[in-house]
Amino acid sequence: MAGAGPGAGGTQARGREPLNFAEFVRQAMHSAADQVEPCADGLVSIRARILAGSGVPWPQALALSVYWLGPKRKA
Amino acid sequence: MRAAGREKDSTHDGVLSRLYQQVTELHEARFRMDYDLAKGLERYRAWLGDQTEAPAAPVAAGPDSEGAGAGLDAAEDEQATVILTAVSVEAVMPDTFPASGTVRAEWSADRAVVELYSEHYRALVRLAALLLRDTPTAEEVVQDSFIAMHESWLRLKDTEKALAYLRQVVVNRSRSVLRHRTVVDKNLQKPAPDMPSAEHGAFVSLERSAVVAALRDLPERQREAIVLRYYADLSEAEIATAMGISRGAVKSHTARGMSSLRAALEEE
Repeated sequence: MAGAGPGAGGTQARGREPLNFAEFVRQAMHSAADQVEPCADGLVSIRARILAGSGVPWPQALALSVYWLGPKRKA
Repeated sequence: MRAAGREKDSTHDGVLSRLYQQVTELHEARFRMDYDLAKGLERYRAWLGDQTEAPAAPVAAGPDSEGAGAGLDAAEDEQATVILTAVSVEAVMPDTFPASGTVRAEWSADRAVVELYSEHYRALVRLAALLLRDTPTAEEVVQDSFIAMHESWLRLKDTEKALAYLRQVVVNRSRSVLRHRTVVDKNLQKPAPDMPSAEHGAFVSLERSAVVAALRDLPERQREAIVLRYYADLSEAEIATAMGISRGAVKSHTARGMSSLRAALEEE
């Protein structure tokens, strides 16, 4: 997906070879976003909240979700 | 009468609390930091599959009842069965004994959540983090989106549509969070209304990128269009769906945003 999109054109990316501006933006955003690492237990929270939304008391919803999917959420 | 009710509630809370403690203590070894989530997912997928193929099968012990590498001994398994049965299984897993006609849709919703989570959760959190510059809030927004998708599954019934729906909800909720943040920050008279507060420390690493920092100063629509185009690599049509605007508007927001971004970066 080399960038030929809006704003395309040469630019000097600080000490590197000139890049297509769109490609430069793409690379910068990917490299910044790659540093974001979500917690491993997102599915536990989602599952527990779905159960809780269907009327299951929160402690049971969480216990069951942890039982299936672990790991235990750290405070 | 009220006192009796309070006493009943208190007993109920006590029972729930003991239940939670028992379940977590029983499986402490499985839930350590080095717990293998991928195996947990596999077990859950297998369990969902078993339920699809054999709806009448007993489910009280959850995925481990099949003995799929859970690493539990028989006594622990039996104890788990007893505990889970005690908390009214049909209330905990409404898709286990549902009314006829809703069975498959309910199962599919659970399965869709698992499958889409495995493939897209991380990318969606990163997308939201670029919009919000705050990882914990980004995770919350994405989790909300999965829950909304689960609720809308009967209408979606398709993973492609569901993914588009997830993106749409992520963009809309991120926008709401930013607007709320702007109002709160205005009331607190902070100098930069769109800046996250100090507790949003997780975004610091994102801010190290000049491009991401410059994105902060763009109008929200331009920022969304650029992130969806250059981070999520979406087509104009997909961006239009995610943002709820026309393709022409997407082109315009992207072009203006890129132009402002280039000007901001060249100024530095």
